Amino acid sequence: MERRTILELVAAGVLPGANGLLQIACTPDGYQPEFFSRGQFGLLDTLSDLILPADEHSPGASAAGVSRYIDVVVADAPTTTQERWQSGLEAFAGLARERFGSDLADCDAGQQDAILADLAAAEGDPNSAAERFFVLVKQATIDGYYTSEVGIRDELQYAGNTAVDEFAGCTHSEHG
Amino acid sequence: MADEQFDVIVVGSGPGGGIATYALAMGGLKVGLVEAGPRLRAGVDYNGHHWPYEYRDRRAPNFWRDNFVRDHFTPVGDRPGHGQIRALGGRSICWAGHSLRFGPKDFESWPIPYDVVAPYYSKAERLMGVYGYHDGLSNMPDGEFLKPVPMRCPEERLRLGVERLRERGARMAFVAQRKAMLTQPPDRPEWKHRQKCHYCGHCSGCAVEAKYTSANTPIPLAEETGNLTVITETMATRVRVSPEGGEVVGIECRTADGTVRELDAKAVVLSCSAVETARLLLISGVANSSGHVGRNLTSHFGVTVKGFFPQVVGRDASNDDGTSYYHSLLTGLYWDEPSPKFEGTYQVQCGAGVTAHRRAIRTAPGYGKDLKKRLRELNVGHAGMNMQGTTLISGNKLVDLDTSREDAYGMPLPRIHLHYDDSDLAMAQDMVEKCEEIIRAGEGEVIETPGTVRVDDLVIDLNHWVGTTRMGTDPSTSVVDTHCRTHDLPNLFVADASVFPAYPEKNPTLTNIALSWRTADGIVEGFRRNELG
Ligand SMILES: Cc1cc2nc3c(=O)[nH]c(=O)nc-3n(C[C@H](O)[C@H](O)[C@H](O)COP(=O)(O)OP(=O)(O)OC[C@H]3O[C@@H](n4cnc5c(N)ncnc54)[C@H](O)[C@@H]3O)c2cc1C
Ligand code: SF4
Repeated sequence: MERRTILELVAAGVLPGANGLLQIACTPDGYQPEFFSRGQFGLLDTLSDLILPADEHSPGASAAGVSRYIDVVVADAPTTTQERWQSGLEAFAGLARERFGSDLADCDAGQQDAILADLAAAEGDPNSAAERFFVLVKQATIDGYYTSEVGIRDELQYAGNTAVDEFAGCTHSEHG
Repeated sequence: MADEQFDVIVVGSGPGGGIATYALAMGGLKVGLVEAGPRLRAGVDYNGHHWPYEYRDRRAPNFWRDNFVRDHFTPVGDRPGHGQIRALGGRSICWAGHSLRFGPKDFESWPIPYDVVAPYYSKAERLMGVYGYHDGLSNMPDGEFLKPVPMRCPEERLRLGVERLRERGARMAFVAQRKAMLTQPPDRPEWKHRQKCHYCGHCSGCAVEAKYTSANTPIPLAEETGNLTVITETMATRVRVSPEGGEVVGIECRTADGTVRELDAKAVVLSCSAVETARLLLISGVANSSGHVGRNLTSHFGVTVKGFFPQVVGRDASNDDGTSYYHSLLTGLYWDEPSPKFEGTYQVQCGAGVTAHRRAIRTAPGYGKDLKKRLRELNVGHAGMNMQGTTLISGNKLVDLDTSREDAYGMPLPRIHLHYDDSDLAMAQDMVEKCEEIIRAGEGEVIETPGTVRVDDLVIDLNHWVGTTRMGTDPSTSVVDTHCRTHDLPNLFVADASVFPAYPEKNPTLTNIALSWRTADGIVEGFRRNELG
């Protein structure tokens, strides 16, 4: 990212600036979020993993870099979209604190599940800011996951996008 | 004074103009092919085999999406669309290749019968290379097919559903798609610029020329005759008529830098596509004594229904690419007995499969491990059914000019009026019910459906417009005669789908090519008999 852009974001209150020095948020793998604060980025990691977790089949959303995908897409998006993410994340973070007195990442599995279950129950007709945010973050998580190397290769076991000699089609007499 | 003199000028190099150019040059005529766009190189200007995660926004290059000119018209009514690929080859560069013959029944509403066009279907299929099964259907005749490409497992479940309904008396058929792609080595001289298909699914810009385009077959073959001059990045802005108005003398054209040129020819062929050919005629004020230029507009439209077949989730879905999503077709509906509820017919293009670039199923309820499992199963086991019905030809659908808006060449933009008729809605509703029935008969679950169809659910196929210069024997109700010569001007012809006087449910391009070939042969014959030139 251009230094000038970073400074603009700090001035706009998007990135945290401290002691007059520019402080760049940085995730454990060294990625520096372009749009979200480090805390927001961590929340996205937790949340996206709750939506698409690791299972016996494949790694989950955070391992697939879903937060990073969301970060760059939101960084490139128009301000109205960026505002939806900012206010949505705030509403969502407030939910865990209000209900269990701690951040989502510090809630235990049962507490996290309770929060997600409520939001998912309303996904067909979302009303509150947090419910609408859940729909937004869930779609972005799905899009990011299934366009990642983990999602395509490990989860879907997809081995195409290449030249093959023949296309076999359905070879099961029991299917048709 | 004109800059250059040709026997024939062809305007537009899509499927219609490409084949006309080929037949004219092979017939020994000096041809000038005028194309608004540039010449592209397959494998350089467009290329497949990318991964979404190689790109910041996960949007790998997609030739069609990235180059489609979509905003070059004024929409009126129920969300009409219009798009072009401005390049040598036109939309044949990105077309999906579905190549279905219209049948004898379809030609009953044309002034020429199936038998007149059939030899040209055969010639077209041999030149293009079209794969398919011999299905023996009454109104979608088999062609000169290359080795077919089979369906995927979920599509087989749809076929099973159709078979079961047929046993109960339903009249329909479920067959594999027929596409213009080389499924065998390019061992004919006409295919020397092409390669065998390798089933990668990037057909909206085939980098190895396995899919037929105007730019990889008829145009280079025509150039090799020495009779063709290709004039790219040049827009025809007007058809020029003799001072007495009795014949066409050539065209006026413009390049992007504003240079205006006049080209002379003894005959002119318009192949700009249904909307653009009508626009050029209206701007030029020619060939419209009937007032029918731009009228009789129709296209295909539809809605989508999706099903899920739990029986097939265990299949090997590791490489579903094939020749991209649609490998099958629901057809044979209302051919023999028209519906009492609507006019016309529809077909349903069906597909299935997992791809790297597009998740067919992008969501499901819930979260967590259950959501992940469900998404995996849905993508592996779903089948998509995409309706393609013919909109009713009526006064509610037409092309005219928007004189308040001009393009970069100073030409008024086309304005497209689309208002669905009750018959259209009734047809879409029938399709939804049929597709749901088929999915259930195949023991599947309906996972996506509009249910009760509203006008807002209908999606127009912006690539299938036809009818704007319709063919007929009566000069007061049609624009061209049965050889696609305009009634008004003896040396002005139309070689694209504008001339279709009626439109069945089948995709337009094979018929566009067959008919344009026949039109060009007629022009060659006209020159031989000294009636032209
Ligand atoms: C993604 C996609 C998939 C498709 N799949 C299928 C399919 O499977 N089967 C099927 O049958 N059809 C399909 N189609 C539709 C098919 O591509 C079109 O119907 C067909 O290309 C129309 O042919 P045409 O020659 O009339 O016009 P076009 O292909 O549009 O070519 C017209 C050419 O004329 C040029 N032109 C226009 N006006 C001027 C002017 N004034 N001066 C100079 N040049 C001009 C344009 O730049 C263009 O190159 C598909 C289309 C798309 C976009
Ligand atoms: S599947 Fe065949 S026709 Fe389609 S892009 Fe690949 S090689 Fe070309």
